[in-house]
Amino acid sequence: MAENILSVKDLTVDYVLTSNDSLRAVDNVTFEVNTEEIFGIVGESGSGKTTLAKAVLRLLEPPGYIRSGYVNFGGVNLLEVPEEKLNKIRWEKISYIPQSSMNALNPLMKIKDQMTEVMKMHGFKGVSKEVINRRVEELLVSVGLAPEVSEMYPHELSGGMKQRVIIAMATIFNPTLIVADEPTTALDVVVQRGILQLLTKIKNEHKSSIVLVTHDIAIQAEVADKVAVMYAGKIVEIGDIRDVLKEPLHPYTQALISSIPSPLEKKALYGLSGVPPDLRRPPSGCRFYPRCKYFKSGLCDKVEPHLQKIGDRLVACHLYR
Amino acid sequence: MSIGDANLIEVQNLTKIFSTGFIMKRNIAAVEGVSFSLSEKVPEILTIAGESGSGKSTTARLILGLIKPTSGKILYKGKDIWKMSAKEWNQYRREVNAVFQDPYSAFNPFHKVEHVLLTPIRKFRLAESKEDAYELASKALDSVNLRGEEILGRYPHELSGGQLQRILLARVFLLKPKLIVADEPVSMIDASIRINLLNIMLKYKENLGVSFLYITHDLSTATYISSRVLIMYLGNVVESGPIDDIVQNPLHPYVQQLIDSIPNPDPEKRWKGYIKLPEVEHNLVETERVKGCKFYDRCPKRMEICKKERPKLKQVENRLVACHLY
Repeated sequence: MAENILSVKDLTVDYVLTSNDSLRAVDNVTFEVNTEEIFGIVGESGSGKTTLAKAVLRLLEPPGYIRSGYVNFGGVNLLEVPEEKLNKIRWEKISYIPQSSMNALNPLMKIKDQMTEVMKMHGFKGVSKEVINRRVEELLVSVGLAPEVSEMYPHELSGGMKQRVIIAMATIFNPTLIVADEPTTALDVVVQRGILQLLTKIKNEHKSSIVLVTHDIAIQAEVADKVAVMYAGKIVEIGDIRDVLKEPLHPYTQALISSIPSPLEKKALYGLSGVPPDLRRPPSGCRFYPRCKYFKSGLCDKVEPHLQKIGDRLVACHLYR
Repeated sequence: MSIGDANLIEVQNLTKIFSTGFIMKRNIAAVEGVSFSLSEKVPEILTIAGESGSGKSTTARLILGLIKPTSGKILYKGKDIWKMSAKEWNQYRREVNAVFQDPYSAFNPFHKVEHVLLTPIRKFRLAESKEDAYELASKALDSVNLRGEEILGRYPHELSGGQLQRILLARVFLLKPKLIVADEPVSMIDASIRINLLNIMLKYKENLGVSFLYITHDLSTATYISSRVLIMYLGNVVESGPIDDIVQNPLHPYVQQLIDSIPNPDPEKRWKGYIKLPEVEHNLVETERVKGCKFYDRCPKRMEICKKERPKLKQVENRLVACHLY
């Protein structure tokens, strides 16, 4: 049995809008990530996947507040450790690659200097310049870039090169967990494949784990081991990626998978009707019921389904009782 | 396939060069020598596919007349769009319409959503009275599977991206265009409803005889709705022809890499082999100085001649390919 490296329990996050209005972006979310595993989180815009990733790392900013929950990482609850200790855990033990982070590189600093800055902030103080420069070049080479890139400025790099610099920075301290939020979204498919394969390679070499957040289930199918599907702030299904794609159990997962066109087999496809609920006023019972073709009146609109074990899968749906 | 005088649109050797730089002027050919045509008789969805920087959006903007080509021509029903009279130009703008990537930015947040429907009705005098105008707007919403009573009177922020994009398609429907230039119309739309928009486009083509120029980076959706594709790389068409044949058996090394890298929703058929990204890439301006093939740096099958001579499009089997391999 693989042991778990991250365990999230009953995590709930609210965005406070006004003194008497708020919305629950993440509602009672529980999942575990094992060592050497790529754990995918998939969901559409507004499903809460980015909020969840940020909450786990305690990076939420107001008006987002963690209401309850427990995030166990290496025996400590990340939601309760003092700020200084947390800062050490971030970067050194867990690295976070936020959405469009490649555009966050400082345009006025050489790549080398940006990487050095992070290293100096985290224990590379008093280390000679040569040692640091060597480490920078080593890291760049490890992501398939030429050592000369260290002397370049961000505007001289292509999107794929910048994203690789970000990955190099994220791996400075060989963290045991990398949380990557849409790491390939603005990139071309060939570069996207290169980046995802690089992340997988790094994970295998360092025996670490990755939480991969993306809206694209085909990307999860290519690289993830397990996947959690989010809808309107809740996880509706968790399972092995092969099982979930072969036989999705939750009606939302089914709709999501059946609406992806495949370039090699042409057939008529139909998407979901309706729109996701307004989270300020979510429907009673199951949040998916207004769009669900298996809707049972008096049950789905009254009783909220919770994640339950169906074989090796966890599903939150009244169809499976 | 195309017959000389029966073309709805014919693009001949289209080239657009942008100048960049402050003191040292440098030229970048965003679009270089692109040619294609769409028949007036048989409606068709033609895809122009490529990555960012391939020139696909510049091609779209050229066809919409938003920017002027450096050289080459765009003929609409045989007439050069830059030599049209004011009246002809007005007609062109009514018959050739656009849908863009970001539905949110197409709406004025202070106006109710029907503003985008009522404005063209008024401008092109499509209705006699206010009641007629509202009825027409409702009908247009029907065509994109939206209910008038749910949509009319709402503000843009109250609706989802998918709904807004459908309203924009409804506006296009009002004008009964001949050609719709759709630049990444579904890439900001959630996957589970993306297919609905594509189905509306197919319906417009089949029932109303509207042709589409579908501009995208996503070959999966392109294969779903179109029959023919032009694949661009840094301003040039590198391969064009029937989309199914190209997807099954790409000839150009770039297109082979591209199709091989499309993520497949089947975990049993994962990518085979690692893609090695280049250690240093030339940026666009430097690529411009390249005399030979622009794909040389990334090409696994490069030869000596590729460095010296830019390959021209050649007929290979049932398609056009720009590669020295053939």
